[in-house]
Amino acid sequence: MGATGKLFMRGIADMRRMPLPQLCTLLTVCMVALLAATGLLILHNVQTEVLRNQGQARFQMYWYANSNMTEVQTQWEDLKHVPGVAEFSTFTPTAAMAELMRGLSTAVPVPTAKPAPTAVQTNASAENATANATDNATNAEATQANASEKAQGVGEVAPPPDRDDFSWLDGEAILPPTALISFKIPEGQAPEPWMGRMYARLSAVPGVEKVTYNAAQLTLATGWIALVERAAWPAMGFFAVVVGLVVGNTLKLMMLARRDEVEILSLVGAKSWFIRAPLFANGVVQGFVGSVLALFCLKALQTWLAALLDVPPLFLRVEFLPAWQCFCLVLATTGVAGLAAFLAAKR
Amino acid sequence: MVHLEHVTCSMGGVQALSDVTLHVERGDFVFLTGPSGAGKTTLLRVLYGDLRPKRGTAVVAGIDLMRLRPGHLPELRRKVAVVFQDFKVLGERTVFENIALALEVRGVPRASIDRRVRAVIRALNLEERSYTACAALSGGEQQRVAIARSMVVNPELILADEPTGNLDADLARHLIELFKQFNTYGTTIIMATHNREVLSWAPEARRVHLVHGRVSLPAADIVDEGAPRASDHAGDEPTEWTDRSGRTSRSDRADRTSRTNGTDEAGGERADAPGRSNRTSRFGWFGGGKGRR
Repeated sequence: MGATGKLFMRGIADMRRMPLPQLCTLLTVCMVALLAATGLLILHNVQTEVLRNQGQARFQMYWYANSNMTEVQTQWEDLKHVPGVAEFSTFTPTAAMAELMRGLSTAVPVPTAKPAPTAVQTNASAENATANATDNATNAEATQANASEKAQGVGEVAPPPDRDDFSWLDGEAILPPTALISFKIPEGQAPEPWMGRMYARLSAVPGVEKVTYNAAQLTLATGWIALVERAAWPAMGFFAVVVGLVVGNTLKLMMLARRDEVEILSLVGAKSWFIRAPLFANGVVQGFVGSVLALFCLKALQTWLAALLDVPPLFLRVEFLPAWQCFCLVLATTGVAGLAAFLAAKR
Repeated sequence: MVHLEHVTCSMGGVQALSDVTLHVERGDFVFLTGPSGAGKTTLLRVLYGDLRPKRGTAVVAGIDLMRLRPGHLPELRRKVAVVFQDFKVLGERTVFENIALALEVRGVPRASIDRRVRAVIRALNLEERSYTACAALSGGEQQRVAIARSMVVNPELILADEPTGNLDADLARHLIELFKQFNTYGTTIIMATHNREVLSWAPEARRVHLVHGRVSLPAADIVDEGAPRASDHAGDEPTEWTDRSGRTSRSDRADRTSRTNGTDEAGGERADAPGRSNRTSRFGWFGGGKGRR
C-alpha cells in the first residue's frame, strides 16, 4: 500500500477517536441527503406520471342507462379498432355498480365484518338477465384493463363488495355502460383540433348520451413538460449547491474538533497532503455512508407512501428512484463531503 | 541560525514587535525574557513561521521568512521544533504515537521510527507510559512527551514558549536540564520565560529581554560596573549589545532614551532604568564597551 493509501486508512481509522462528532455529522449528512433524495423522488414520480400521459387524449363515453348491451358490445369492438387507440376500458352497468358499491363500502366503514359472497349475484329481472350475460362476458376484459385503469382512478374490478351495507344496490341497472378510451395523438397533429374532431366522431356513435375528454389535463401535461425542460436542471443545480453547502459546512464544523490535530501536524512539519488526505478520507466515508443510509431511509419512505397513496380514489403509484439516480446521489454526496473535508483543513 | 534585522510585526493593529534585531548562532542557548505582553510569544511565532513580519529581514535556519510561501512552511517546521506551555499533545493518542507523529510526517521508515521513539522515551523516563493515552498523563509527563516529540527529529533549533509554566519547580528544573543536555549536542535553543528561577538554572545561557515588543536590557543581569549607560549614547541610532561570544541584540536608542525616569509607559519598573544601567551583565554580554553598531 502506498503512502497515500496509508494516509487514507489512517483517516478512516481515526474516525473512531471522536465518535460523537462523527455520529452527529453522519446524521446531518444522512438527513440532508435524504431531503435531496426525497426531492428527486417527487420529481421522478411526477415526471413519470406526466410522461405516461404525455401525448395521450382520454375520452370517457357514456351510453344511455337502458341501452341494449349487445349493441353496445358491438360498438365497443368497433371502437377498439379505431386508429390510435392506446388503452380501452369498458364498464357494464353491473361492473360499474360493483365498483360503486366497493367504493361506498370503503368510504363507510362496516361495524362488524362479515364474509364476502363468493360469487356475483345476478338480477332476476328479464331485461337485466340479458345484460348480465354480457356483463359476465365483459368482466374478464374489465379485469385485464384493471392495471392501467387503476392509475386513472376508474374501472377497477374489485373483489366482491361488502354487501351488508349496500346489497340493495345489487342488480340495479341505474348506471350506464361506459368506455374509457385513450388515444395516442398522431405525430404532427395539434392536440386540441384533433381532440375536437375525435370528440365529434365519438359523440356521433348511436346510443351515446355524453362524451367527456381531458383537454385541460393534456394542456397541463404539455405545460409541465415544458416547465421541466426549462427549470429542472437549474432547480437541480440549486438543490445540489444547497446540499453541498450544508454538507460542506457540517464537515467543516466537525473538523473544528480536529483542529488541534491539524495544528500539531502543521507544527511538526507535515505537508499539506499529509494533513488533508486523512481528512479527505474521513469526509468521503461520511458522505458515502450518509448517502447510502439516506437511500435506505428513502426506500422505507417510498414503501410507506406507496401503500398510503395507491388506494381509491388516488391510485397514485410511487416508484423508487432509478438506479442511475441513486448512483448519482451517492456519488455527489460523497464527492461534496470529501471536498468539504479537504478544504476544511486549509488554513 | 536566527538572523533578525529591524523586524516589525503587527497583530490586530497593535505593533507586537518593533524594530527587533537579534542574531543567534548555532549551538546557542537563549532565554527570551520579559513581562507578559512583551512580545516573547510573538517573536517565537515569527521564528516558526506562524506570523509574517511586517518589515525587516528574518532568516531562520537558512530560510528567508519574508519570502516564505505557505507551501514551504513544512520545510521550516522540519528544522525548527516548538514546545509550548500547554504541551499541544494529542490527548487521545498514546505517548508513542505522539512522539512518532513527528517522524511519520517526514516519511521515516517504520523500523527507524520504532527505534528512535523508544530511545527518546527511554531518555525521558517515559517507558512505563509508552502506550498510555496522553490525556491520562500528568502535566509534567505531557510536557516530557512534547519535548520528546521535538527532540526525536533532531531539529536544528528548538523554540520553547514557557515550557515550565505549568510545572512544579523540581519538574521544571529537570526539563531545563534536558534542554541543556540537548543543547550540548549542538541544538540551538531559544526559550521564552519570565521565571527568574528558571534563568538561574542555566546561568551560562544568553538572555534577550523584551519590553513592549522591543529588545531591552534585562534588569536582573545588570551589575554596577563597567557598562555603558544607555543614556550616554547620543542621537537616535539603534543600539546593540554584544555578549561574551560576540552575539548581538539591539534596539533603537530613541526608544531607550525616551524613557528616562525609570518607569515604562505602563508605569512599571523598567529594566533599562538609567539609574541601574551602569552595571555589567552576569555573563558580560553587553558590558565592557563591546557595544557595536
